[in-house]
Amino acid sequence: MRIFSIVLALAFIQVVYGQEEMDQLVTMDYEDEGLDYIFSHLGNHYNVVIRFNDANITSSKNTYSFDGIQLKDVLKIICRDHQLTYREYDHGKFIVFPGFLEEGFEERNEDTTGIRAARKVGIEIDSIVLGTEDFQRNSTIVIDGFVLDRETNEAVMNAMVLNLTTSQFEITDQEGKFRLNLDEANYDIQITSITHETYAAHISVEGKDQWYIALAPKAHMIDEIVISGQSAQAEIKEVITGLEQLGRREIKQLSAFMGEADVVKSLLTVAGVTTIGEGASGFNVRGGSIDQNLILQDGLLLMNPSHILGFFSTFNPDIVLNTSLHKGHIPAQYGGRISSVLDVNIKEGDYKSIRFHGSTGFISSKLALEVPVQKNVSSLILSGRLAYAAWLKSNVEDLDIQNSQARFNDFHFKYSHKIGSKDKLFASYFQSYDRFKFSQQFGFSWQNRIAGIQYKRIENQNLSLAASMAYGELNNNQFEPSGPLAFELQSGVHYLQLKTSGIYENSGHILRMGAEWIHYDTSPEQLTPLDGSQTPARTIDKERGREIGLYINDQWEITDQFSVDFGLRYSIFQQLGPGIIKTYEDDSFYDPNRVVSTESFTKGAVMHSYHGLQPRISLRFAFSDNFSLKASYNRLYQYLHLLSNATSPTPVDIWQVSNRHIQPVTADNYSLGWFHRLSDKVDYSGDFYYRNLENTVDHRDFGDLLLQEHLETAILKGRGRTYGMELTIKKSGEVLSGRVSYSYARSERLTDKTDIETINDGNWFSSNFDQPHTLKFFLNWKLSKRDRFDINFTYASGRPITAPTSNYFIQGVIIPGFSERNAVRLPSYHRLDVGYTFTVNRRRSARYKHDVTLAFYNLYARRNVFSVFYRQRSGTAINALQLSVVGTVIPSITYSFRY
Amino acid sequence: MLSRAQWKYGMISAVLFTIAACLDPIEFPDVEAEDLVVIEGQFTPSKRVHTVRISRTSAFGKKVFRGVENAGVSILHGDLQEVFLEVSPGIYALEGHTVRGQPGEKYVLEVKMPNGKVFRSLEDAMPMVQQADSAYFHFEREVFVNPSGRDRFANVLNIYIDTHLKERDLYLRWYVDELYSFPEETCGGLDIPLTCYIPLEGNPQNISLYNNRELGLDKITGLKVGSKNSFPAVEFKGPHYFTVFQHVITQNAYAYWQKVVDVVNQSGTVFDKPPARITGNMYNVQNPEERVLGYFELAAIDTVRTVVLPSEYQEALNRSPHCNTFFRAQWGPECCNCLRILNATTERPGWLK
Repeated sequence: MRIFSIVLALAFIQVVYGQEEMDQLVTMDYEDEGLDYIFSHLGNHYNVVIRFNDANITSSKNTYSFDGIQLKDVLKIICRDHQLTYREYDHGKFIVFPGFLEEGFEERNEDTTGIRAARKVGIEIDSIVLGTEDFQRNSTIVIDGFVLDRETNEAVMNAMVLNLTTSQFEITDQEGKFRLNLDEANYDIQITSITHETYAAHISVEGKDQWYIALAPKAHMIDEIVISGQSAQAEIKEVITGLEQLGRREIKQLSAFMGEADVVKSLLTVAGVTTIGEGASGFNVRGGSIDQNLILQDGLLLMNPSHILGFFSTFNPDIVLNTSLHKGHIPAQYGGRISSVLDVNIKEGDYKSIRFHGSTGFISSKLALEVPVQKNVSSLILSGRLAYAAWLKSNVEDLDIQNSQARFNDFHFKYSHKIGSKDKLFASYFQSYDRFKFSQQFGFSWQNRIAGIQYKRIENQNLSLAASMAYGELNNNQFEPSGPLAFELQSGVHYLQLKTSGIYENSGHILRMGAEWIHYDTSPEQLTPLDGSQTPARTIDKERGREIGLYINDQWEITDQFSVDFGLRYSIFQQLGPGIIKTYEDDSFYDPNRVVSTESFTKGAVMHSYHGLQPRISLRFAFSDNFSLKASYNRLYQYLHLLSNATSPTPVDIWQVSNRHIQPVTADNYSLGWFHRLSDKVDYSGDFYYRNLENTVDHRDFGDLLLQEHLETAILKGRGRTYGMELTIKKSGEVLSGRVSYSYARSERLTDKTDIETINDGNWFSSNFDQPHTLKFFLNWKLSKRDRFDINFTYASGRPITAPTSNYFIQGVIIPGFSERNAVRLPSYHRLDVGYTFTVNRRRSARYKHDVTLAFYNLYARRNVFSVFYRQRSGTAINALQLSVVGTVIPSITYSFRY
Repeated sequence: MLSRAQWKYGMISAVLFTIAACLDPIEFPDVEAEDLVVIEGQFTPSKRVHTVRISRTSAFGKKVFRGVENAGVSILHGDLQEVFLEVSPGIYALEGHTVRGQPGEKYVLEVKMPNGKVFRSLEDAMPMVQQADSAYFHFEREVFVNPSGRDRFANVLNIYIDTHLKERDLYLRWYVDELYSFPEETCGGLDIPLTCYIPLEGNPQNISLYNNRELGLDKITGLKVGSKNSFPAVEFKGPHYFTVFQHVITQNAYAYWQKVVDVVNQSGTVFDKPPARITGNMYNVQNPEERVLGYFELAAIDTVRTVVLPSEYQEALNRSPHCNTFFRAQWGPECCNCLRILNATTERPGWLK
């Protein structure tokens, strides 16, 4: 914490929080007090926010005596005496600026935003003076702006701040920030956003200043379709390749499965993001496996973002502020995974009033509640979701269904507390639980838990700092509930994560630096026999490790055309004892029968370590306002692996830290992309990418990963490559919007060729996620202000499998002969979903808003293949059967509400 | 407005929609069927006819044995060579009950194909015989999962075995077959009622494996090695015999059979191991890269039997006897002539004499 106390002192703004009533009667004496003290004191005492710039108020001492005078009159008196004006720029928030205005100005101007001095108020366009601070003539004046949602105070990201006078523009970042470098002159500024009403102002720039703009949300945009998270202008200016950003409203655009909007399902409409089908957990980015995605929730590590069978993710869309998916360039502040970063930010609770959102459907209901604990100081957001299919199941006579279970729940809590004007403290807790049991055959369950504390400090307009500490765990359980081999197998991973970071912005640079420390503790695998089972109890100790990362990253806008994001990350990984390392005769193939020696390590001892530098760079060159070209190179290391030898990834696969025999996976990512705006409403973009992977692991044929004390004996080492091309055409608009994307993507593996065992004779073969052709289409059509209709279509090449090609007999047993690994493709996957949303109450002023969504998932009832397996009745040949997890159309009705 | 019952029914239907998983046959029409040589057989220390089968793979889904004729098959043991004779297309036998394996000795199978290719098995040593202590049965009620994934409770006759394991690192495989006797009824005339013996082939897909390498146990008690879940009364009119063949096999053979189990016993759940090619112990001498399937197994076999008497069957399953004298009108032709039963013979098996 000391570091926060030695940084720069407050330069501009003092913020005082308080209540809103301007009619409160003030009885107060001030004697020889400065205006800063008086404003602060009034703010504190009467619970209002009074913002002012130190530079704009005199340092003279003042004496006032108020006895039962309304607060608004008190402010008027003070402002009149000092040639100041105050104006309410948001509910209960006031700004004081130079220049005394005639009576009544405030009321006429109440719909405008918080600005310094307005000399004239037009009906549509504000006139604003920015900056009276002294500055050196002939130098550039910096105006730092913040665009906020007027209703929620949330940052409005990706708004375009267009200087109509110079035709230059800026795009607001995730915090709603933008910066204008202007000369001393007058400008016409227009701020547009696809989610908010357009705002225009004529500004007179007289000096350095800050500018707060509160935009009104578009009435018809509340929970409606916005096809793209980033505007075309933002995409052109974006220096990071392969970045997809979605806000809460964009996430809600898809009705998805059972009418539930979902973060991961929304991402699946993006080119390059795929899944191997219904029933699979996680998602694959550009041919990577699911464990190669770094998933962060408010910056804290989340190990498994999937709910039951992968139909839902654990992110409750009602409380998600925004989502960023880095599938190309991964800036240096991220590390530990090689394929992508999904960074999901959870919103803060409302600081002013109680709000709630929720929905209810056939399978689950969810509710989010925002509570201001101390008005304008601290807030709480609570959300919960519960699946409740059990009561319906009990009415079904089918024995299988009665014996089956599918339930999940999640709970999220986030407390936000403002400490003074610069600091914020967050405490959060998240947990999710899933359990699935199919009849008496098999089942699994898993549980996520994350508890974290975060501290953020905005030191000044240039510098912000953050630190966080979190504890997380993922507990897995799989079981066979009955039969002679009934068992329960528990495993998991626990981790402690510490992070600190700083952001410094100046002169076109956004400099990020920080450090991260994660301790992984993989839980022992515990096999417990269930009642009457012949399965012996076993416990296999697993390994521990710690990962330390240091990084520095600079996003530098060198010119308007050219910018670069470059950084360096240095990471260290240590495998920790207690444990045993076996040395094998042949290091290229770990044969459990050819162990040369063993070495034991005590608890905490470093058993093996790795380290490496990871350079990251992304370049952007804007040839015009409508076209930009981008390129990036990244090196990344991954020290934690998810090992699976199941047909498809399951929620209960095994997490394994790197050790002497299982090296960290190294990836070199290359990407080249472009963005072209064809018109105001249509743009297209494309990306070529190539990723080279080293030290990949694949399971040996028939290898046993479960209860395997030395996993290296069940795997084969190798390397991999993914490459492809993505094309996207987007159409934006208030009536009709949509997106079409096509991806050609390959994902291949190669195992080291040894004399003993290899895969497919040591030749390249398709990974489980190799789906060469993917076509996605999404259309949203606003039929009227009340109704909207959306269509989502997905086509993907069938994923590769190892298929039977022949039969033969061994001692009377009919054995299927199989192809080489992943040499045959399943039938292609395609699906059409449609949704219709009717907004019941759409009056902007209505406090209670609700709508009904009718959705059809898999409209034409395609039986897409999830897995293939083989069964034989006695005396007959073996038959191949396909399992379609969703084999019919799924209708749903969801009722959503918010207050 | 929907009535309460209609609403409930609608909700249930909707949920049934959500539990909408489907199982359908799938074919891979574009996949070219492989045409590979399959060589498999067994050699034991027992006095029995040892056979080797040589065939080619058939298209997936077909139950066809495509035997390879006119191959030269022999067992190599040091400088000695024992030659097999072709007894039917693709099936080769070592005649005479005279040639048998010696525990601890190493053997190799050699196959000379008509096209000149020579295949051999990897050399392995004959295991020692491990005598089984006893086999016994229990009628039980179990949850039975049928091929469509539905489950129900059903009667099951389970065969168990007890065995002392005299050595460490023993690798065992069991196979159970059945034979029942059928005593004819007296149907008039002067004919003396016969007793027929009808062999039933066990289901070879039920493969039971065990090894004591990791657990180090010196005794197996109550290990289920077979089960029967259909009980036609005709099979229990007389004593019904279960023969348990206990194979002591090599570590390599055990690993091979484990892979076979993984491939043939898939459940269709996400926990199935991905299937793969099973590599056996045969190779092409001239071209080791050529894929050849199959396994030549060296095994030491011991047999134990258990018998289910008609009274035990009737009591356990509450059934009346077949050819019940009180319901003579319902007798089938086999009651008076047991040779009408498929595969029936009056020749008493050697082990019953």
